Amino acid sequence: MSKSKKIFVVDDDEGILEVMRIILEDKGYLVTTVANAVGLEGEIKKQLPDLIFLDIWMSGLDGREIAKKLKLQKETKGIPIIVITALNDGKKIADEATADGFLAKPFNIEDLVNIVEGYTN
Amino acid sequence: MSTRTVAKKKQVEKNTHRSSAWPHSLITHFHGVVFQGDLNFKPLFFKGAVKEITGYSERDFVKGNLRWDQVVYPEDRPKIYQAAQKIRTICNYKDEREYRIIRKDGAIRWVREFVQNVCDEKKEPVLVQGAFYGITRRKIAETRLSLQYAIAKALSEAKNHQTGVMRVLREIGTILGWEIGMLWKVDEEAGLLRCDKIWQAPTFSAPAFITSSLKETFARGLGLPGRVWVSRRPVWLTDVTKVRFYRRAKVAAKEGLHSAFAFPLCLGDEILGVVEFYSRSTHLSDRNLLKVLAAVGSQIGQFIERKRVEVERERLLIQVEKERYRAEQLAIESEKKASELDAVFVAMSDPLIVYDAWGVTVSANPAAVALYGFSPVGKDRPTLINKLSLRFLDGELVKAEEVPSTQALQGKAAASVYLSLIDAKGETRVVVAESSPVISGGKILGAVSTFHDVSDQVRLQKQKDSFIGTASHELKTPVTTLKAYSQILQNRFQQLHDEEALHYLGKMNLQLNKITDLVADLLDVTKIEAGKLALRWERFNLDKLITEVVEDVHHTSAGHQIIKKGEMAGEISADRDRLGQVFTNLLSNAIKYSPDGGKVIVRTQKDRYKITVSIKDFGVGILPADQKKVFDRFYRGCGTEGTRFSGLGLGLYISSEIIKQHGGKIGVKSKKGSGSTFFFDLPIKRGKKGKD
Repeated sequence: MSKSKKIFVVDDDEGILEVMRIILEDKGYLVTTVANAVGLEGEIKKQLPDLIFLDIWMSGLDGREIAKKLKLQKETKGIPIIVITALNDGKKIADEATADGFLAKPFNIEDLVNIVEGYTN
Repeated sequence: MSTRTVAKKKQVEKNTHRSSAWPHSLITHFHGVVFQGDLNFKPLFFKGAVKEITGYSERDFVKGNLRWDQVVYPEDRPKIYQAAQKIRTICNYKDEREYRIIRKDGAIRWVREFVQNVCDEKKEPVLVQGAFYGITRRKIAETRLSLQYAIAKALSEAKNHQTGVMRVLREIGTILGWEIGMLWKVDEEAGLLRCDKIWQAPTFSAPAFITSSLKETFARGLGLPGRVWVSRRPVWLTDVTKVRFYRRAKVAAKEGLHSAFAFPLCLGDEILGVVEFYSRSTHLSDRNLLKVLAAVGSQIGQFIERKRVEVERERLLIQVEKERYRAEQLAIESEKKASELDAVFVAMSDPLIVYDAWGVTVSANPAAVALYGFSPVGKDRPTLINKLSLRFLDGELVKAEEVPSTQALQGKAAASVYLSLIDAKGETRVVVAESSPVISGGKILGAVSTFHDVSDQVRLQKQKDSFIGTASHELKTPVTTLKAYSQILQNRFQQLHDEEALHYLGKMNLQLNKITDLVADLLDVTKIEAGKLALRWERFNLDKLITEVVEDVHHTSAGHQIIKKGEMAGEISADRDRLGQVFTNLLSNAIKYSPDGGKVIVRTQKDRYKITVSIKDFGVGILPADQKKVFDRFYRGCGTEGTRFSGLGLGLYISSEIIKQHGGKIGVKSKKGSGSTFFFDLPIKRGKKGKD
């Protein structure tokens, strides 16, 4: 397992960001948590993470739009995007966002780790 | 001979002599008779058309024994005698009169006579002189005229032929001076004449005769009326008491009736009846009168027919009038209804448009005019559809053939459709568009379309959706964090081998899962209500799904024994997650409502068309009345002693909606106290892959 994999977690809930950081750093990933989507695009382009977790329901922002935008750009379109959603139709939302997968709230640590391992290997 | 008589005779001779001095030319050119006679009707001098008028010669009167009063018609003699009294006593008395005479051949003639007396020096009447001439033709004409006039008047004033005929009888009787008149009507069915009407002179009464007449009927050719019926001509009987064929002779004699005449009431060849008249006097047959009566008979016949036609016409007119009135009432009523409808039409806040069979707008209410910004009347539908930029709610443009009014004009009662449109003010509105065909007598006359504005509802629905989304996000996010921390802690305590802490954390996790499920249920209900419960169809093995769920559920309740029975279902097309949800729900309920543990039997059955899955428990069961309600939203079952079971009561409602969306059925059989069997079936879609 590569320890240098960079993971972006974008969510406006500090609790989620923190718990994700704890779990993923525990597994040896480099985690960048973003609570504010302002400047997110530039940051992603700069750091080019290996995986992005993106909350689709952020105050004032639609995660789906951000995902679509990233998927349309040359530099970022190769980065797997996993949408985090509290809605039951995770797959449908992921499709709408042209994202690669979804993580339904609430999740088990196991599920989260499986997804990350699946997309970073 | 007395001196007086001798003197008188001398005087007469003198006068005679005097009379012969009358201008000869006057006598020859006067188409009548000039005369002189004594005071007792003995003619002394007769000159002129004596023979033509009376049938007798001058000699018969002057030389013979014939007195003038002997040729006067018996009925008219009294008035002659009355005048004679005055002529004998009053000097210079003059009289002017008309009366009938009987000719030598028996015929009756009318004469007009001027008469005055000639007096001696003592002013005592000694002679009579005067002149007369024939007026028969005029008299006949007059009688005919007065009869016809009176009859015409009577008939024209009569309301119906009943009163008309009655008045005619009265007029004839009065003018001719006869006492009884009768109408005999033809009874065609019986082939008989029956007495229908009787008139009697006010001064006369013959009850026996009338009673007998009313009892009588006459066949063709029998009695007086029967004879007239056959001969179609008037008949005159001078004295009925002496006629052999006359059947009522005895009673007529008893009542003092003598003369009779009868004439037919004709209408062309048809005889409608016979009129009979009776007189107490003995009248000699009057051919001229009979002629008049024949004419009167056909006059009455025509009248009866005309009245019959009139009555029929009136009946038809009344009928027509009634129909007209009814039509008018209907028109008034429908106008009233129309105006009521019109008021509704105008007041309606929803746009309403009426199309004719060709799809051209014939009527539109003010709301519709406001919607378009112009009156759509006279416009065709394509123009109107384009104007509104009609779209389905998913944004797709509505094609002309998809517009409800198109379907309505084809005779289909279109279901209501949610559409978005842009109104005249440029505002986007969401409407429920509906159109119904107007059908009459199997023909499509047009269509009526309405647009019910639901923009507000849709906006509210969106707000509600958004709220639920937010609520679920806000609820799930902290749960997620909690769960994650509990798991992190579990990992730590595992490393520390702290079993007690792990046990508590396990319980915490269970509770967190419950919260998660509740929130998920709430979300599902919201989706169902918004019609947004979308299925994700896929092919999968149902048996495998059942096994997985059984394992999961069994995990939470070791006290129950879950037994799988029946056959293998194999692969099906369905939404695996949703079906799993249903099955989990039913199995969890089976366990939840059999709190004392025991068996739960899961059975799978399959036939050509469907797969049925049933879950049987032996728990508390459900009352029959409640069995229908268990699939209602928020319904919650009760234990035997009113024990409360936890949950929001949404599980079965969601399950039934999911099964419905799959085209299947869900149901329950239960007996209170002995357990319940919940089942659902899914149609097997043959040769058709599940979509999406």
